[in-house]
Formats: sequence, C-alpha cells, structure tokens
Amino acid sequence: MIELFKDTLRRIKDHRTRSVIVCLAVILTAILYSAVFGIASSTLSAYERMMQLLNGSDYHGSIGYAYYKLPCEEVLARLNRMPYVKEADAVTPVGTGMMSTEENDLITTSLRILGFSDSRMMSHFFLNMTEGRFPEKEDEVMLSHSFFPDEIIGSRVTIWLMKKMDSGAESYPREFTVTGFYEAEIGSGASELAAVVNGTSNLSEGMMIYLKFRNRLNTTGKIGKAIDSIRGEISGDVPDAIINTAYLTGNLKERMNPQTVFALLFSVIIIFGAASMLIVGVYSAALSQDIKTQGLLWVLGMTEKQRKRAIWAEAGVLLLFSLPVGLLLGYIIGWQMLVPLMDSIGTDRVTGRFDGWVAVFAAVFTAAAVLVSAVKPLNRIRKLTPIEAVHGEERHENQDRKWIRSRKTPGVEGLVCREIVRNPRAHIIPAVSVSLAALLIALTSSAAAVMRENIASDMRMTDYQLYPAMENSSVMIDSGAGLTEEFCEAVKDLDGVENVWPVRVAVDHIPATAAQKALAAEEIEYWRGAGWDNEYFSVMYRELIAAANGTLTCCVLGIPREFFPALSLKNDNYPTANKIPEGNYVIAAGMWRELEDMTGDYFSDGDTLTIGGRTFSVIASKGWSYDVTRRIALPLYMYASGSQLLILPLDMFETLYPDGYVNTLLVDEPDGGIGLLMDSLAELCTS
Amino acid sequence: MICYTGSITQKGESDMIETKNLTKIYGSDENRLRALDGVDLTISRGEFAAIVGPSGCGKSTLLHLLGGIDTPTEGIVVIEGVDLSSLAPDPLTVFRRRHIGFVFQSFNLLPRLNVWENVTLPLGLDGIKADKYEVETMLSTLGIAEKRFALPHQLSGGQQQRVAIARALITKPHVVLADEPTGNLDSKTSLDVVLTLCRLNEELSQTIVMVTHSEELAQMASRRIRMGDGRIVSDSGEASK
Repeated sequence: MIELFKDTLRRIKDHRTRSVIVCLAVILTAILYSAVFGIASSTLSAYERMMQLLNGSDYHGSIGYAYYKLPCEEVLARLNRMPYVKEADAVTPVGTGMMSTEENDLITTSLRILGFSDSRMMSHFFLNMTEGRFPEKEDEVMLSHSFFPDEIIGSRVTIWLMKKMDSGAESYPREFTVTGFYEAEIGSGASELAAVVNGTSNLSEGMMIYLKFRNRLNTTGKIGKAIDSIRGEISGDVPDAIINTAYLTGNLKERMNPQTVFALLFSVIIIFGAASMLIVGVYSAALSQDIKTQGLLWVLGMTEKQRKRAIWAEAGVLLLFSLPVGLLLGYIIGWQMLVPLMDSIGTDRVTGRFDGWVAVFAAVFTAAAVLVSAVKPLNRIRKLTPIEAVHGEERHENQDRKWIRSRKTPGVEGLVCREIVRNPRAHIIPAVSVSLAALLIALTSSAAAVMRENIASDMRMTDYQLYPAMENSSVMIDSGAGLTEEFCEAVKDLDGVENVWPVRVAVDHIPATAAQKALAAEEIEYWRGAGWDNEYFSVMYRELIAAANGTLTCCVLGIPREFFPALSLKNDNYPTANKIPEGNYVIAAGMWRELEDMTGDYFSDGDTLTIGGRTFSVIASKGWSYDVTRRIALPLYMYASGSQLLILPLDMFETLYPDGYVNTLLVDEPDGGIGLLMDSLAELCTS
Repeated sequence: MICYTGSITQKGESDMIETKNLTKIYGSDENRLRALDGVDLTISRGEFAAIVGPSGCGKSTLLHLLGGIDTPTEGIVVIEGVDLSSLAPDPLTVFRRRHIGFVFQSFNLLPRLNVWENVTLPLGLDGIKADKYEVETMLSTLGIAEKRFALPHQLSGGQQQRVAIARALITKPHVVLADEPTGNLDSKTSLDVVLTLCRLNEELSQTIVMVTHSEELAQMASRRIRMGDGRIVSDSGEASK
C-alpha cells in the first residue's frame, strides 16, 4: 500500500500539468455540487422552517383532540416507549377563552390558552421564555406580553376555562399566579397564544398529543401505529392523525413538486457530466501522450486491474489533496455567498440552516465523478493490442470507408475539418464538454431567475401569513363605527409601511335555498345531539336557526382586487382557489375553522349567488377559509354575525354596500421591524 | 493472484515454443495483407534462434505473436505447454510477465525511472521485492553497475539496451524475445549486445529468439530461421535435424 502511494505520488509529480488540471476539476466540481446542494438544502430548510412556523410547531405530527380513559402521564409514557418515538407531549387547548386581571376587570376575548405537559414543549411551539419560569403548579400560568403588557410576575389573573359537562360545556373562572412571560417567534402560529398553564388536567377539552419521531420518514405510518397503541384507551371517536406538512420527506409524494425534483436531478446529472467530461478529457489527452508507456507496461506485465488501480490511486490521491479545498470553497462560495443572495431577494426572515449533509453529498458525488471518469479512458487501451500500444498507434477502424479513396489535396483548414469528419469519435469528448458547459451556464442563470421569481412569489403569498401586521388584531378592530379615513391615512404614513389594505365590512341577509335550509336543519340536529347548543356556540347556533328559517346571514367583505394574491393563492386541495377570474365573483369562506366545511356545503364552486339583485359566481368556497380566518375573519367574529364570509372585490362591494365601513386594516410592511410597527400602531390608537 | 487457465498441450519437455499454422492477416479487402502465412515452428529449450529476412517478411510479426502481444488470425502459439490463445487478457499478461522477457529495438525504458527501477519494474508488477544482490549481479554482468542510478537519457544506446536486457532477464523468464535489439546501435555495440545475449543463453540456458536484419549477427545464434513473404523459407535447425 505504501509502495502504491509512493508510486502514485511520483506519477503525480511526473505529470504536473495533468495533476493540476484534475485538481482544479475536483475543486470546481466540489464547488458546483456544494452550491447546488446548498441551494436545494437551504430552500428546503427555509421552506420547512416557514411551514413549521405556519403549522405552529416543529413536531412531526399529532393525534387530534381525544378524551383518554387513562391519565395523561400514562398515555404519554406508553407512547414514549415506542421505538421510533423520540418525544411525546400533550397539549390541552381552549379554543376561545376569556381572562380578566386584578387591575382590569375588562374581559379580554379571543384568547388561546394551552396546557403543556412539559416545559420542553415551549421550544417546539417557538415560544421563548423572556422572564420568570415555567409554571410548576396547577394554579400557575405563563403569559404573553403581547396580550398582557401590564402584568408582572406574581400577579393574579382569572382565566375562564371550559368544562365539559354531560349536557355540553360551560365556562368557569379560575385564578392563576403569573410565573413568567414568553414571546412567540415572529410569524409562528404561537403568536396567537395568550397563556400557558402547567399540565393537562386543568383543562378538559380533550387532549392533543404531539409526537416527535427519531426521523421524519413514514410519518403517517408511525402516527397510525401510535394511534393503534392507544386506541383502547380513547373514549368516543378515534382521533385523526395530523401530519406536520413542514416535513417534506414525511409525505414526499404529496409535498415534493416533481418539477423541483426533476430540476435538481437534472442539475446533478449535468454537473456530473460536465465534471466527468473535463476529467475524462484530461485523462484522454494525457493517455494519448502516455499510450506508449501504458503499452510498454502492458507488455512488461501490468494487468488491466493494476492499471485501473494505479489510475484510481492517482485520482484518489488528487481527490485527497483537492477535495477539502473544493468543499471549503464550496462552503464559502456556495453557502456564505448564497445567504446574502437569498437575503437580497427577500428571504432573510426565514433563512435555511447549513446542513452537514450538503458537504457529504458534494464530496460523494465529486469523488464518484472523478473516480469513474478517470478510469474511462482506459477503455481506449483495451481496444488496442499491446504491440499497437507500444508503437503508440491507435487504429481508426471506424473511419468511414468513403474517405479511403479520397484524392483531395488537403489544405490546412481542410486537415482540421477532415480530422473531425473522419474521426468524429475522437472529438466527442471536447464537443460534449463544451455543450455541457454552455448548458450549465444557461441552467444556472435560468435556475437563478426561476428561483428569484418563485421566492418572490412565495413571499408575496406568505408575507401576511408569516408577518401579519394584524397580529394583535383587537387593536385594529373598531367594533361598530369602523376605522376612520384619517386613521387609515395615518397608518399609511407610518415608517416602513408600504401599503395599507382596508377591509370593508357589511352584514347582509341572503335568502337561503331549500338545500341550504335543509342542511342548516340537519346541522342543528347534529349540534344539539352533541350537546353543543349552549351559549358558547350561540353565534353559530343562532346562524343555523336563521338559515333553517330561510335566511343566511353573511358577513360581506370588500377587498381591493390587488390584495387577493396576498391572501392565499396556493391551495393544492382546491386548485380553483388559485384562480381569480375577472368579473362578478364572490369568494365564500368559513368564518373559522370548525365551520369551514359547513360554509363549503352552503356555497360550492360554480354556484351562482344573488346579492343586491346582482348575480355572482361563487369560487373557492373552502380553499380560502383558513387564511381569511386567520387574518380577517376571527376579529370580525365578535362583531359581525354570520358563519359565512362572502368576499367581494372592493369596487363591487362599494356599489352594493355604500354604507359599509372599514373594519380592518392589513398593513404591508415589507422590511421587517414588526415590533416597531406595532409600537407605532399602538401609539396611534392611543392618540 | 491470476492463474492460468489455458490448455496445456502434451509435448516433449524439450519444446519451449511451438506454433501451428500461425497466420496473421492485417486489413481487409484490397488492403488485406497476409503478414504470416501458416508458420509451423518449434524451438527447443535453451536454443538461441535468430530470425532473419528482408523488411516486411513477417519476422517481427512472428515474434509479437510468440510473445502474446499480438493475436493470430489463425493458428496457435504454445509456450511451455500453454496455448496462449486460450488465455484471457489478464492471465496472458501475467503469463508474459513471468515467462517471457522482451527486448525492443527502441529500448523502451521508462524515462522517469532510473536504471535500477527500470530493471526491477517487472518484479514490482508481480508484487515481488527485488533482491539487491541479484540485481547488482545482473547489472555487473551486463556492465552497467556504475550507472544504476542514471536516468535513461543519461545513458548511451548500448547501455540503454543492456538495461532493457537486464529488465527482460530479471524475472528469470524461460524465453527472451528480442526484436531487432541492435537496430539502433552501431556495429561495435551491436556485437557487444549480441555477445551478451549469447553468454546469457549459455550461462542461464535461456531460450532466446532474436529478430535481426544482420546476417553477421544471426550467424552468432545457434539456429537461423530465414523468412520470406510470411513463410519460413529456410531453417538451420530443421536442416541439422
């Protein structure tokens, strides 16, 4: 082995030019692979992070709300014993709670309160402790300063919790001592979380179990097995398995865009080809000079295996020298330069993390390209007999027979052309190399353009999702009178604000069709049977009764046409949601998540709807619900009755509802600094 | 380790080389050239045979076929009972490495290896470490011991050819094939080289087949085979029988 290494070093030294070119090829290939894998990894990682934030946690999945016969600890212990489960935690949520404090009797509404089984869960929900400690007793609570700016540690607060009764659910007040404060990572779903209490026994709305697996593969199957393992302990319906769609590999088939995969594979193949061609070219050129030596060694007894080994050893040693340099440069060029590039096109808010696998993949693919292509030229020798090799003669048996009888006198240019025409195989490698290099350049520039466009497009789509300027939406809601023109103008003038989108609102009563009436009656029966016909659901219940009696009460929103793209355009389940037709249309959406389905049943794609004597086409009944709810509908819930939202282009809205008022402002603040904006808005509201 | 799997013919122990109906045709159609035309030849162990004839008569082709560095169109070559055509490329290479030594007209030394390294190269290819004493003895015998660390370009033509001979003999092959070993040498040096071969033939009882243009040098061999148009036209060995 040492002898082989020494011989290899000598050969490298003897063929300095060849060695330097191969080293350069290795370095370039490693840089290219690092860049390609780095871009892919960064994009995926950023996307994954973004989706985690949107989904509210970094758990792989969860088991929907369920009532367990066993205590929470035992259910979790059972799940934690499963081999592929890394962490099982439980959450008991309260949908909309109420809270009052010592100093302020005013009940604050629309609060989300969660009971955590473990303090470790904070980080999984993107909650950072800023002050104090996690609650350790059942009468302790952590608060968000966003919702309770005036509270301090030790304060007593009253939280209205829901209690499930035989006849339904009812709320009751309970006192807690504040032990600490947290803040949610910007853009995460946790930003809507007002309070966290310790344990799950406090709250009785059913328990949701969050699961973190050892790896992200086959998430669906693993959650299914987890459910099977506790199936016997669940009362009532078996809960749903909820997959965190942030993990692309968990459900690749659904999430991975085939075009992206194809583009990535294509890039890898092109780089592999280009790098291989370069190295094959180098070795082929060297072989032409070396062919006599190779032939001689053959005659003297060097077997093909030995020749391969020698060339592999040479390529291996060159790899050893140059690969670390290539990977280092790849990291610097491909990654460190990538981050500012991506920042410059607007993804600084969610930046992918460097993944060590990028370096591993880059190294493996580079090594494969070098080792495979280094040995390829040996095939040329295999076609010769040793004596031909010793004499340095390569046969050109493939020469076209028509040239044999040529009587043309070759000129200088003619010689070159004839060399190419008569022996095309010898020129394949340089020709393919040039083509691949050109293709690579074209591919890189197109990929950059496409990526820029996609990211810009994604950002347009997600800007509001990630950074809702309406985070503390109550600040922006004026219950009855609406927001004044002056207020809207003043918001527009705030630092950093680019656009202000006023959302106008009106309440309308639309005659229900027979089908809608029947559906409402059916729903009433269902909810009544489930014991939910109490005050808590009174708004919805009242709605259902009105619908059964022949009137659909709808909250009608007027939104500028140009704002629609910022709402939610990409919805794989409802592709028509991505199409905004010109003309008369109305978008019907559920007021909040539980009612999405019902709204979808009321209004389907393609239906026509008459409002104010004007006929509209209904589109995207379900696909819009979630985002509309998050940004617009939830704040309206307290003010506008109606479980349905009908969204009209602003121009139509103004014609139909001249008295409609601006209820909500959506603020486009593209440069970050949400905190500053919130301060400015708060100041504006106070003044 | 590569093993020979070629067929071993049952021949007399004294037959080192045997060819049957050995034919080599180059090209095709109107460019077809019959370089060798059904040559039957037997060379015994320890013989020093010189193949002579005009240019293009097929003597080098015959030598290349004997050494397994070219393949016949028809016929077989048997060396030490092994039919070369039955060996796969790598076993044939190993067989050649261990049993046949080559000396070329143009020396064919590796320019970046010194004398010592050039000589011991075939051993290295076989994974054998050279015995210093043996190599020194070989170099001394051939009169190039003082040049052991010189590179090929620092040697005269005669010295280079001696290095080539030493390289051919270092594995103690039973057959040494020399293709115009004096073609690039002056007459005095040529004589020295052939005398060296004669001496090795006598001392080591190695079978040597030498192709040469020179009638004078051919006379120094124990057997002279004359060729013309791809055939053996006369053979002193056959005549003596």
